[in-house]
Amino acid sequence: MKKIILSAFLLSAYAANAQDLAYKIPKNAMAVASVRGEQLLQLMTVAEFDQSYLGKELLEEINYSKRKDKFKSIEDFGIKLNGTVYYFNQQTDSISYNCLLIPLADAQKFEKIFKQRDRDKIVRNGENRKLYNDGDKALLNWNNEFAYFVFGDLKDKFLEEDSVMAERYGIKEVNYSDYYNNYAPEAVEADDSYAVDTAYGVVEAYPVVEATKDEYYEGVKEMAYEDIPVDAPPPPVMYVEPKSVGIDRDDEEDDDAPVMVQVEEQTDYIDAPPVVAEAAYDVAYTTVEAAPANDFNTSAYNKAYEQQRAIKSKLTTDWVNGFASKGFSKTSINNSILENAAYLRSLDNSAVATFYLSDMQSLYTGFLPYVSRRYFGLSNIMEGYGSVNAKLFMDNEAMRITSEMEVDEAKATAYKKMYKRKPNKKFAKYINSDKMVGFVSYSLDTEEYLNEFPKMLNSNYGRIFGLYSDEIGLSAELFSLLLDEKAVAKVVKGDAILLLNDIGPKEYTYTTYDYDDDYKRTEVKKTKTETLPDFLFMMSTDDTRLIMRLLNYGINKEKVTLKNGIYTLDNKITRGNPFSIHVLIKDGILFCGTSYRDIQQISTDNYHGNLSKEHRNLLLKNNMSMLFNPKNIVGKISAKEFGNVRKLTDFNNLMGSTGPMYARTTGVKNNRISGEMVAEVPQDKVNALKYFFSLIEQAAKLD
Amino acid sequence: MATSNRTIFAQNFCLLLKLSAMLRKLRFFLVLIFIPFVFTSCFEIIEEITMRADGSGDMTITINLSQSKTKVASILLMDSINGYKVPSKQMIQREVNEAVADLKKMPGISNVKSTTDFTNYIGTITFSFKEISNINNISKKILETQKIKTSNISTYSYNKATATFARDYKYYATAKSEFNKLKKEDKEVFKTATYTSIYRFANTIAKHSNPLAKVSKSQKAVMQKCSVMDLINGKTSVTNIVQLSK
Repeated sequence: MKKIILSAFLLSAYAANAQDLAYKIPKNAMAVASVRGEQLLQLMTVAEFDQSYLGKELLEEINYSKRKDKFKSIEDFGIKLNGTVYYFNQQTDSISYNCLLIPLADAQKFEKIFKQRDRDKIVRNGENRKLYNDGDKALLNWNNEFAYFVFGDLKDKFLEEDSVMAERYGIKEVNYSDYYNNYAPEAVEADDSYAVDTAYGVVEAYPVVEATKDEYYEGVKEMAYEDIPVDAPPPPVMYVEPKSVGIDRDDEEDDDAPVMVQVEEQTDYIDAPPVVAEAAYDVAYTTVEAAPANDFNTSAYNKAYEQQRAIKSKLTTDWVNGFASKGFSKTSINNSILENAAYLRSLDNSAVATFYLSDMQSLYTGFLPYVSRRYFGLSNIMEGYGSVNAKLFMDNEAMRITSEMEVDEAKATAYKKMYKRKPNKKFAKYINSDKMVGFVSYSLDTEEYLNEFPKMLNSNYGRIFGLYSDEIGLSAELFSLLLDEKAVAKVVKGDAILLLNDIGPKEYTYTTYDYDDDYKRTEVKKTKTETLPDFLFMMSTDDTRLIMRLLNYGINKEKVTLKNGIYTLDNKITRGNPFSIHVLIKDGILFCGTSYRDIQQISTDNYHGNLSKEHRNLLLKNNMSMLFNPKNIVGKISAKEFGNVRKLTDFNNLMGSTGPMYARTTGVKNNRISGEMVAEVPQDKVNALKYFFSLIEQAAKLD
Repeated sequence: MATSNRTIFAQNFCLLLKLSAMLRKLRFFLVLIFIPFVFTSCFEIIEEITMRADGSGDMTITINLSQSKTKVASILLMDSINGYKVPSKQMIQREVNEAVADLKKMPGISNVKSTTDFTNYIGTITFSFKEISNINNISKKILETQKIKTSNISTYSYNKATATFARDYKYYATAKSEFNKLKKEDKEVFKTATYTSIYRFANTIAKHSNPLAKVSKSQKAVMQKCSVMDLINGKTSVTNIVQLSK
């Protein structure tokens, strides 16, 4: 089912302003992504999508052989193709929810996406329908207007390691080793049976373990769901009003929704799951005797393991059910993401898709182990970095992704200082747009960076290891004292570019063997020609003494040779690297290149650069830039090296029909670090979406 | 230390993000350039046995990827290729060291040495044996390690009385079926690979059974060169019975 949901999301591609579902997303969602079908339909019709390679693949995938009612078009999926589909993630300490909101055009058609065995499991209540999947971790609710999919992922480590949570729910870590030697397992309790009482009153069997004759299994057959009070497992995340205490406001709007009473005293922080009646989780077992000591007790281990699995499974189901019910029945925009200014900033009417991340800290915290956050202060590690948003635009000219990240005043000031340097204009003299395949450039002010670094070191180390804040502060001071920032900045000014200058045939030597009259072998060197790329690295420097000393040291050690002012590094230095490296220092630039000819021409002022205006602007006006020009690869690789002519032709066709791509970031503006990635649409393609689809089709041919 | 590094990473997140992006792009370029034809690589496997009159001798196995060194170097820059994890140089060295340690434990095997040249990508393992049948134990051990069950094991033998050296090569039909399971691009790796066997003796060779093998001018060595693909497909046999002059 996940595959189908994913397909639906992609399709949703094609989903509404008439009925935009964003109001169902909680105000404090960690991440929100949207795909706007209305925009996509302007670039490609449904019929065109159906006939495209991707469309055919999708229809073929969903029209599995035994399906009776085949889909002829994505329109048959029942999704409102001109609507907007949303994905969002909501986190608490205990559970992570991944959710999809899909506008529907025809709920009857939508149901047909599911296989018959899934359709049989649909729970119907009027026009509301629901379907559990994936061990009840996933729940899909839908009506005639929209579908709402919620997948819950319990955070086991937090629940096991947080003593309050562990005690509340009876959760503990079950280690295999604990059931060895002298270990008498804790008393466990059992109940005869249990069933799931869903929000719509449907009862399903819920076996936890298969019964065995082993007495230690006897106690853990099943767990009683009925024992849990209806209001016991409320969803951990609510649409919380500051200082509110009592029933959630959305529940007031819908009497049919499951009653989820929650006591909430938080303001804007999402807490761990609220109180669940302890009785629900620790009364359901009857005591069994401890296992004999001094040997491994498999059954006790299995029993304890199954108990834990059952508790966690039930918690997940309850919370997913509660969370899904809340969102599904929500009707007002109050406390929705539409009241979140940072999210609203991520919206753009002309964007095909948007992405919003509430803050870097949330993302980072989500990956950190609970212990690290609680005991080592790592929960503040990304402090100062705010929300992130990205927008995807597609039009007749290009496919463009813009993104920006909010930073606080202190970080903005620091980054502004660091990013005030732009790349050396002289770099442009040594780039030839006609043959260059791509480049990556980067520019920051080394002196400012070194000035700012100790401050950042101090603040973050101090925060993370509070006990050692004095030592860390001292280290930061020492760092600053020992380094002469100005001197370092003279050697490495901070701007550099790595060019993939060309691709061409190159001779290289390899080792093989000759055999004498006794077939005794001797190593011989032979040469071979192969297509290899040429790289050129350039870096600004005002003080070349250190670099020169290093190179001269290499000469003394016979690892570097010097000829006509060009240093060539011995293969032993560059071992593992398929290229020879030649070094030249000229006009305040350190050149390192794989092409001796290029370096020689630069050395004698005979290099003929030819940088186009667009490429010049991209390189010189941005702090970081990247360019890839696939056309300049076409025809430069021989069929012999490629394996076969047909594959080479396909490869050349793909590269030839791929437009230039570039990315850049301009530094910090209004406390935001922004950047963009652009893929230009070649002249023979109508628009970015069709171009994108054609690339996929051509890439598929390469397989 | 690891925590410190992580903290520095976090603190300078944006800077490092861009730097790593820069490096990733470099890797991207390399991958882009090399991926299409890394699989047309050439490599050679050389098996050499030098027999002494008393039946003892030395064996050297060489794998030479020098002709493909630019591609191998590029592959080693990647984490994985074509669904396979690319081992690090350290991992390769460790594997070789383990192989050497295992060989040292084998009965009748001594003077085990190895070389690994990561500039030209040539690796060798050399060892001495008391009698050539000791090598057969190595083959068995390898097959056991690889969990390949077969009673059909290629063997070496030397009959001192008759002065006859025999390389009894057994073709494993499973080799072909296993090979056919590989992806098309993986198969390309073996297309130009060669296998060379050289057997040297103290006495001259009176006759030998395999017409594809050539006797040296000195008449004291025999060599056979074939493609690895022919061995996989069972088109070539490297079985050879060498009768030495008495």
